[in-house]
Amino acid sequence: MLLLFLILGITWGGIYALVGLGFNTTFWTLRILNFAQGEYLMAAVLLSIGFNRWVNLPWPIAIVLALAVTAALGLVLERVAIRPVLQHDPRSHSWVVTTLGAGIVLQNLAVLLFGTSEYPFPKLMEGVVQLLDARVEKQLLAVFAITVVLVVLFDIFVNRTLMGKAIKAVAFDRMAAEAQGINSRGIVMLSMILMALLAGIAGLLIAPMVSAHPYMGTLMTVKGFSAAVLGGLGSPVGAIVGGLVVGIAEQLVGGYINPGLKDAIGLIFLFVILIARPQGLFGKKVAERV
Amino acid sequence: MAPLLQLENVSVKYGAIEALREVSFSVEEGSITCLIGANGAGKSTTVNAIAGLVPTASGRILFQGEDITKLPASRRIAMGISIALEGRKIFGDQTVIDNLMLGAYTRSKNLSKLRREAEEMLARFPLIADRGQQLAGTLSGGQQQALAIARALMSRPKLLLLDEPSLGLAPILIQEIYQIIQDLADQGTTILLVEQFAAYAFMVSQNACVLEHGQLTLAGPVAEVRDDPRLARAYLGK
Repeated sequence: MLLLFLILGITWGGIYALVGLGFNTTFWTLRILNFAQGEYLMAAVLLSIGFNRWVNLPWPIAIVLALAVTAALGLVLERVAIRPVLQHDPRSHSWVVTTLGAGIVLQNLAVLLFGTSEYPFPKLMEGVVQLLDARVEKQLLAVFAITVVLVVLFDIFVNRTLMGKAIKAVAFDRMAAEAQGINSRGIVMLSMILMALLAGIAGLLIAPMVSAHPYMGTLMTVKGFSAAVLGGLGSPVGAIVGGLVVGIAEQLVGGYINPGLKDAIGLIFLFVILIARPQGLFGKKVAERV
Repeated sequence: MAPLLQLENVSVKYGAIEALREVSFSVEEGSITCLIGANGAGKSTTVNAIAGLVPTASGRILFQGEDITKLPASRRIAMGISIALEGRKIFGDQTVIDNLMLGAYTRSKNLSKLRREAEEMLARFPLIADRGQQLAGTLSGGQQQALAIARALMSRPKLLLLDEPSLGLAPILIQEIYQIIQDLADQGTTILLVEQFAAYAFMVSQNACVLEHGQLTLAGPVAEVRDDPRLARAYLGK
């Protein structure tokens, strides 16, 4: 059983890491946390279902189109819920309310369009494989493999491309980045697209394992946020480690202690890390001039 | 010959505060012009406005005769204006080479070409020549200043804006930085040098402009400005 719990934990942890990386990208470039992020996960899933059911598009096209719309929704969020409050007062924390509000709007739009029913989502792969003493669904392994590829691609993009270095430059010092000719507004747009895509892909990966419904994003927001804070906001490595720790811990606790405690683990980690080490496992202490 | 850079009645406001009031001066091609004045006189605001990092409230900025007042910073860099900001402002969490490559962001997106050019640039700066793979935030103050200047040169500027290159540096390092500035001028780079310590600036400059409370109070060849009693007033408030 332990092996199965570990595989489940790593797979779900990878999903939390993707959502956590999304939190990081907007935190990097805007110094804000986007609490609507889980709703982008939900939007990509339900839009795919909508395009497939209502427009009769084949799944691959429906999914690509849904991701494109989700990315566009990321840009809309920046324009209506983030930019106005930061323009009014860059030091304001009103974005907590506006991003949460935007999430509620997205969720209720989804309820209007899709109702509160649960929808099935097709698996990437059917069947199971035997790994030592554990029978593991192929879908789970596919999700794990895709997550690993995405994390590696994200790392290559951020650390090995000029655009990634430009994102880091904007995150480090926006004015200095602009002095190099880097379009910081364009970089912010890019970070919103990345956030929406990471959340959307995470949603598409978990959709076959859970039922798709308008409220599926809320819990993922909490878990992705826990992963990002546990690892240290601003640290991609931290988001990945944080996601894996939360994912494995909740499977072990759910499996060996009490399944009812599973969803609380992320919050417990969040609570403990904020008291013991607020900068997270891989984050750096930052002094801010006031 | 028309000046390389010309400011015509440029004003800059931060909210209700007028940081720069109808400032006019010009910078001749191939020269070093220093912009001096006490703390808060508006020196950094002036170069930031020229670089396109702060908007002007009124007036015109002409570069090579072309009005650039409304152009974004990226366009100005592409035209040949580059700035090494006050306080160095290097990207401390990236390597020295990465910092240099970002300096050429508007010119090329070819990573291997930029890396090669960054290594060539490093070789011109003995202070950081062997520090390419080091995180920029771990460099000493003088090395960071050398990196800031080298990064500004990566865009191949016709006009280099240097904002307080001596700030926070030990005298021995200031001499090294000023040697770099002199070498750049000898190679033909036009420089607008912001400096709080007039003595350092006068060592390398041909022309000087004095700012006082956001207004230009004195401008001309260094030999004349140095002996003008209004210079002391600008610093001492007499």
